[in-house]
Amino acid sequence: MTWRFTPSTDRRGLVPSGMAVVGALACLLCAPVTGQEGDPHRHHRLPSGPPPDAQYTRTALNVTVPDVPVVDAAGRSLRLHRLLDRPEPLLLQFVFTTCPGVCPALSAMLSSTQRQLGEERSRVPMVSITIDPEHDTPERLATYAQRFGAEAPWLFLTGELDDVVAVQKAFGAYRGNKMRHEPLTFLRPAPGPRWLRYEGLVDGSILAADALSSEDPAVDEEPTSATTLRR
Amino acid sequence: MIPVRKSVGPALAALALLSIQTTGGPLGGTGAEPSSGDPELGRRIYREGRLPSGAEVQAELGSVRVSGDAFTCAACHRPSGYGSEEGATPVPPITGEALLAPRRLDRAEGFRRLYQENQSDPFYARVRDPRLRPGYDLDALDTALRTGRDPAGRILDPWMPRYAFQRDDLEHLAAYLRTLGDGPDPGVELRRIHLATVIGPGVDDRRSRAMLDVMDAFIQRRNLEMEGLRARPGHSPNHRADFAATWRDWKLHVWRLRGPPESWGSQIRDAYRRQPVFALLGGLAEGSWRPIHEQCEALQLPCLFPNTDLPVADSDAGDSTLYLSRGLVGEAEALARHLQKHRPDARVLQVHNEAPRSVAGAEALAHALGDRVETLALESPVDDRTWHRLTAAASPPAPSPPAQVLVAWLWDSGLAQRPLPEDSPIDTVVLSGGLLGTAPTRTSPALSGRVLLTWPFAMPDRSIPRSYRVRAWLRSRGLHADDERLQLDTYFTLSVADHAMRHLVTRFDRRLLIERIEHETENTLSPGVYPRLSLGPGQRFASKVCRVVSLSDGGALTLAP
Repeated sequence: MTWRFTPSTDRRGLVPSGMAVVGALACLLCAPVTGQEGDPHRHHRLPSGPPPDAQYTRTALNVTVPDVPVVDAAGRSLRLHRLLDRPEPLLLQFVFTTCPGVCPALSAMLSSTQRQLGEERSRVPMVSITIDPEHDTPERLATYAQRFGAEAPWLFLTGELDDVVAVQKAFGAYRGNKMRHEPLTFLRPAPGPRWLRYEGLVDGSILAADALSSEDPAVDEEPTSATTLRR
Repeated sequence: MIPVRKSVGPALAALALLSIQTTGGPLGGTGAEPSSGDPELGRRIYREGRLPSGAEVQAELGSVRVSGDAFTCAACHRPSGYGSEEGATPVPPITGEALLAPRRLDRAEGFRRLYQENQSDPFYARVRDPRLRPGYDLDALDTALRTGRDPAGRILDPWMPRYAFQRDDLEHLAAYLRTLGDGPDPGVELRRIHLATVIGPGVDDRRSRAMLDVMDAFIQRRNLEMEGLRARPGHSPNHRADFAATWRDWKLHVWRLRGPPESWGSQIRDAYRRQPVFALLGGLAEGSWRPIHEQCEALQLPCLFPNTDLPVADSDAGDSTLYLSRGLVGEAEALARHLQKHRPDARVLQVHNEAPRSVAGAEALAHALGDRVETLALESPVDDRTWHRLTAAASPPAPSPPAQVLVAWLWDSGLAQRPLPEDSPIDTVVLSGGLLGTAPTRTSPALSGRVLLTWPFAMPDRSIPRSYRVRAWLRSRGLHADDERLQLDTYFTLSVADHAMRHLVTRFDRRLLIERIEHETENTLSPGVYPRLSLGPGQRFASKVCRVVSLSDGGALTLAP
C-alpha cells in the first residue's frame, strides 16, 4: 500500500495514489466486519475528524451498572451499584489523577456545573471514577478533588483494577489503556438504566440544566447499548 | 474552506515574515539581539503555571475559568514541549523550533502516529487531517493564546485553554519555549547512540553476567537490523527510508563502580565526562540506588529501570529515574495496609539483620505502623542465642503486650527450622518475597499454615503471553535462565528503550524519551515478572501492586483473604 502526503488543499491530508486506490478498495471489500482492533487497515475507512465547531455530542445508552466494591477518597468502602441507586439525577466521569490534559478539563466541567447549580448542588450527586486505580489511592484522589474545589455530593472513587475495567465496559468507555481514554461525561436523568453520554467539552451550564430538566434532553442518536459504542 | 486556505496561508506567511522583520525577531529576539524575556521566569509559567508576580496563571476553557497547576503548558504539551497524544486529541509540539517554522507535512511523524501508537480511531482521523500553518511570531503567539486563532486563521482545538498574558510574561514564556527542543542531547552521534549501564562493587558476577548477556544479545540483534536497513536504502517498503535518520547503532558502555557509595557520584560524573551517554539502562548495585539516582538527577540523565529493590521512593525525587517497583518499601507498605485492615489490634514484632535491604523493609514498616511495631536487630545466621532473644521479645514481661505477628526481613535455615515455643503468642509469621526471591518450600512444621509472604511478583499461576516469547528469545540466543527475573526485567528495559527511541525519530531529547516511556509502558510490553507494568505522566514506579499471600506447606502461594 502506498500513501502520499498531499498539500493542504486536500482535507484528508493523506490520499491513496494510483495502484493504491485499487488496493484500498480491495481492503474495503475484504475487510472483516468485526475484530477491528487487530486490523491494520482500519484507518483507510475512517471519516475525517469531527467538524471543528462541534464541541460535544449527546447520545443515550442503557447501562447495567456492575455491583463492584469501590473506595472513596475518604477511604470508605462502598458498593457502586448501591451508590448509584438513588432518586436524584446523577453525573459520572472517568478520570485519573496524573492525566495531563483531558481529565483536568473534565473535572473542571463538573466543578463549573456545581457552581452553576448553586443551591441546587445537593440535588445532583456526582461521581468521578479513576481508571488508574493502582496509582490513584484515596489520598491522591482527595488531593485531586481539592484541586477542583469539589464539594459534596461529589465522590471520587477507586477500587480494584478488574472492577474498574468492568465499570468502564458497562459504560462503553473502556479503551484498554488509560492513555487512550476519551472525554466522556455521563448523566442519568432519572432512576433506571438510561444514561446520556456526552463526548467532548460541555459547558457546565448545559450539564446543570440537563440534570435539573424535567424533560429528557434531546439526543443526537437513538438509544443504544454500551457495546455498540465500542470503537 | 479549501480555497480560503489556499489563498490566506501564503498571505499570512508573508505577514508573519514582515512581522519578523519589523519586530526584530520571531518569538522576541534574534541571534544577535537577545530576547528581553527571561527563560527562567518563562519556565515557571510553562511548568508551574505561575507568573513572575507570583500569581497563578488564569485561563478560560470554553466558558469555564480555570487557574493553577492543573492547566499548565507542561501538562498537555509535556515538559519536553513535544506534545503528546490523549484519547482523540493529538497535542502538537510547541518547542521553539516547531513554533517558529511553518508546520509542514512530515511523513515520518504521520506514520509513527498511525502505525506505532495504540490510539482511538478519531485520533487517527485527526492525524490524517494535519493542520498546516505559517510560523509563529510573538504577536501570533499572543493572538493564538488569547483568541485561539492560529497564524493560518484556524481556531485551535477547544481543549486548548485561552490565556491572556501581559506582554512581559509572554516574552518570558517565548524565551523559555525557544530553549525547548534544542537537541540533540549528549550521547547522540550521526550513526550511533551511546548508552551505559552501571554495575556497583560487590555485585555477584553471575548476576552481572546474566544482565550483560541479555543486553549484548539484544543490542547485537538491534544493530544488525540497523545495518541491514542502512545497507538497502533503495528498498523502502512502507516508506522506511523516511525513518533513515533513526537508524543508529547502540553502543553500550559498562560503568563499573568501585569503593564506597559516597564516591559513586564522582565516578559516574568522570565516566560521563569521558563519554557522554544518552541514557542509562538497567544496572545493578548492592544497597540503595540513591547515589546513582542523585547523580542521574544532577546530569538530567534518564536512568531506565535499574534492577534494584532499594529505589529512591521520596515523592519529590525528581524525574530522571524510572523504577520497576517500589521494592522493599512497597512490600512494607502493602503489609502495613494488610495488617491495618485484617489485624488492626495485633502487636507486631519485626526482626532484621544488618543487610541494607533488610533494614530498609523494617524502617518502612516501622514508619507505616508507628508504635504498634517493635523492631529487633538480629545477627544472621540465626542461632540458639538469637532465637532465644526473638522468642523472649515476643512475650515481654507484663505490662507490655505480647506480639501476635512476627515479620522477618530475613530468612535462613536457622529461622526456617526452629519451632516456635508451645506457648508463643505469635500466630502469624510474615516473610518478604522480594528478599527471598522465591517462596521457601520448607518451613518448620510448627509454622504450618501460619506463614504469609509479601509478594511483589506476578502469581506463579498467572499466564502472561509475552513471557513465552521472551523466554523463547532468550533460549534461541543460548542464554540460560540463570536468573530469570533479572533477565526478563533486562529484556523489558531494552525493549521499552528501543520502542521509545524509535518514536523519537530524530528528536533526541531525554525528556521526550521519558515521556514516551511513560506513555507506552502500559502497552503489552511486560514479560511477566510483575503482575502489571504501567506508567503515566509523572509516575516513577511501573509495578504498583504488592500482594500479601499465604504460603502452603509445599511452597504454593494463594492470595491471603
